[in-house]
Amino acid sequence: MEKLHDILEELVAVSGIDVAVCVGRDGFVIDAASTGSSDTEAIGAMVSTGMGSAESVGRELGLEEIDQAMMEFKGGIVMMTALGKDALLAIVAAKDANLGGVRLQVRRSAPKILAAM
Amino acid sequence: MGKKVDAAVVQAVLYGVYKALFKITGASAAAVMRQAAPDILAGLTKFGVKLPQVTNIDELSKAVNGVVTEAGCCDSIEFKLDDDILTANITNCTFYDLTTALKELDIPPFGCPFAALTLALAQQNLGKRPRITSLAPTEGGKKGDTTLKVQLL
Repeated sequence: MEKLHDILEELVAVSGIDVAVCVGRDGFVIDAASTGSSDTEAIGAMVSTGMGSAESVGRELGLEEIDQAMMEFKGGIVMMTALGKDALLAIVAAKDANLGGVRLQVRRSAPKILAAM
Repeated sequence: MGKKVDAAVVQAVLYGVYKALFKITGASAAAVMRQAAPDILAGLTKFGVKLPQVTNIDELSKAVNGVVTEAGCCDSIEFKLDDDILTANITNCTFYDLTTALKELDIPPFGCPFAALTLALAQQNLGKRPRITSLAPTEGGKKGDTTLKVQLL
């Protein structure tokens, strides 16, 4: 079985992905990989609440459980993917990243991350 | 210690805030409290409540016990450290009714003031990355007796 950190390192090796953070729903950063010097602790806390808010929107609209949420900013993209009920994977990618490719990598990695946690 | 207010009023305010917070952020409400923890410590200092900067667990336990009992938050709080698990035993928690009322709505006890304070102290005074592993009524304890366990990484 692959180690969690190795899976996150593989993700940030994908062109356009700058940060990959595995974070508990309580905002606790379980592990992270980054191409730069990003504050992954801060990212973890923010994405956890971001995911929570997105989840609440779905709940109010009767859309059942959340699978993935994405935020597009002028300077980049944040993609959050649920890892079971207790954790999530957050990806920070460049604005010009291949979104389809990033989503594919995330979908491939999510089960491996869950198994490694 | 400053002017004291009725615990029922404080609990009512927190009830509303926590309920709304949980409605908006769901399970991630714990992440908000995690962010709030260091600011609660800073707030205590800002508003004149003195907590000494000690790193010894027994001294920390004694200091926190003095502050929270003087504030009327509980009858006592005691910290114990076993390997990487920090346990806080709280007796007769003043916020028990708040926690119970939220629990009736299936809202977990993410807003426990003692949990937030313990997280902040573990981070600031013990220099560790803390994570709550359990918060539950003390086995065999009386109403309001609570045991909090925090893993220190």
